[in-house]
Amino acid sequence: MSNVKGPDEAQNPNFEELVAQYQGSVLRMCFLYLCDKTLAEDAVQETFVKVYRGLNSFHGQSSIKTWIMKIAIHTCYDMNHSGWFRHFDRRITPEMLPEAAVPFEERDEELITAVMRLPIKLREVILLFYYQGFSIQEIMDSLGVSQSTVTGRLKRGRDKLRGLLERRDSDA
Amino acid sequence: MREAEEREIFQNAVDRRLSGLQENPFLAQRIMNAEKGEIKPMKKKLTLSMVLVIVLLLIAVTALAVALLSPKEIVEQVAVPVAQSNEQENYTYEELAELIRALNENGITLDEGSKIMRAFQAGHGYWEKDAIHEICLSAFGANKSTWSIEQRYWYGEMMVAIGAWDSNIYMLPEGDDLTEPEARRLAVDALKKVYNVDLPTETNEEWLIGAGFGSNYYDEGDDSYWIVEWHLGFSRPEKPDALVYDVSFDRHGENIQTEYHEEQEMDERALKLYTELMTIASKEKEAMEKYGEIMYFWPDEVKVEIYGATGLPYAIPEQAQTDQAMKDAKRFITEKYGQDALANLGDYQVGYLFQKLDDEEDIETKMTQLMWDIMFTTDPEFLSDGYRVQFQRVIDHETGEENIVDVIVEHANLGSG
Repeated sequence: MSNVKGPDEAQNPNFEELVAQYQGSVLRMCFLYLCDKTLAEDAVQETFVKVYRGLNSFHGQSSIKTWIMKIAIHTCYDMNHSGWFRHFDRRITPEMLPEAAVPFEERDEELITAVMRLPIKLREVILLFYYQGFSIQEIMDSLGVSQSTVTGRLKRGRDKLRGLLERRDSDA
Repeated sequence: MREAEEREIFQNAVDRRLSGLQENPFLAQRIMNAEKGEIKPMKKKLTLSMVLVIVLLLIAVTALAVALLSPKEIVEQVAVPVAQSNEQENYTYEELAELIRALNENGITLDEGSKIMRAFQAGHGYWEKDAIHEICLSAFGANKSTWSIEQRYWYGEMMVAIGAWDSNIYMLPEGDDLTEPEARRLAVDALKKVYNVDLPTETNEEWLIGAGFGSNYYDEGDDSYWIVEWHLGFSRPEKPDALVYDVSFDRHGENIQTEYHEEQEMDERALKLYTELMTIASKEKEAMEKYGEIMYFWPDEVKVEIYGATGLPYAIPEQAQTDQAMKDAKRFITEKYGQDALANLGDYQVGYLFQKLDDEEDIETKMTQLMWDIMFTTDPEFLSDGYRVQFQRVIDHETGEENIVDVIVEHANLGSG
């Protein structure tokens, strides 16, 4: 990642490339984390401001994607713990989801709402593992928790998703 | 399914269903320009009216900072958000501590002898709906029948917000519905007509009047139905839970039903039963002191001695029966609450009640019924977590068939709420 340049060379297109490459993925992850479109957009903007400011100090200890997603998840965490956000009614219904721009299956929506209904600690691990494709080690580094915590939460989150989907499938 | 496949399914589902989230094509440019100082964050000019608004806001915020929160506000701002943010139906000890601290900081103290405080002092968590219920009892009055219809409605909304109820059974009258004064007048008139009694429309020294409005479920077999109705109860202040009269009618004042609950003198037979019960109560108290309040965890012999004396068929199960019952109960919990429900509970204890109805010699039935009521909890003192499973194993001695019937699986709390 030595070709990534920082704020001193802000005209460098690499930052724009990073935004172009990862904005969509960060936005969807923030939406799943925060369950609110406007908050997710704010989180994306804040994430990339931090990325821009931090590019000089990024030395490739992890992949650039891991680094960006770690910033994003911490930004969401901070927003989730702000006093204002805690008082939001966060009951999740499919109607809360934005209109899709491409055709989707009913199962997609069931999975999304099931993820959004997960307790936050399980949700963040599930998002990093399944959506961002992080390894257990990367999740440990990102969240600052132990291996057993990550694997435990992953298992519980996975069980909850399976249970919900299985129940709905059998209902149908 | 392999992890890679699961990830692919997950990523495709998110990318398809959330494809409508709009990316900002100018985000990078805006950030770079803003960071380089080319675009300053927009500063709004302060007009006189904006200054006024800010001053008013500051005054309001300052007032809020010094004003103490009411129990209702604590339920709304602490109890419900905390309940919504965790994954269980009970508060952990830490969450309960946060709630009690919020109450105390706002000058609200719960009775030290209440179940919630006893659970807290013993280092346990507590059921969310029961905790909110106890706060409401403390705030609105220990007798729920005296709560106003607004208080009941609000309480129902809180129950829905934490997921304890699917919908709010309490309602507020609207549109063509009778108003509360009209409902009270109608109830008093109906009781006058049917029982020739003169009752007040408002609570006084002699009569305590409770009014409720909401949806009630009537179980009439095939004709079960819901109806929105008024329900007014009249009791004596010294015995608030013992209804003397009650009246119900639908939201428009139709289908009036009245009832008088006679205050009967105890006859000789009832007195004998009462004496027996008092003896049992005394033994029960001794057992509670020795083995704890929850009888599920008492030794079999004690349960049989005390409750067998009430005429109920309490018995000591054979080991094989117990083993089978535990296996069945665990299976029912797994089916309802998931594979890891008991594992997640941690180091739980098991207590049970067992009754045996043996009609093997009966010519007609020739059946044995083994009735189980089993509790799995880490907290046998307060039942602040865990599961309760009730079922009957019916053994037909003619056909040799064994069936399990009347299975109920629920969370272990015995509280109301």
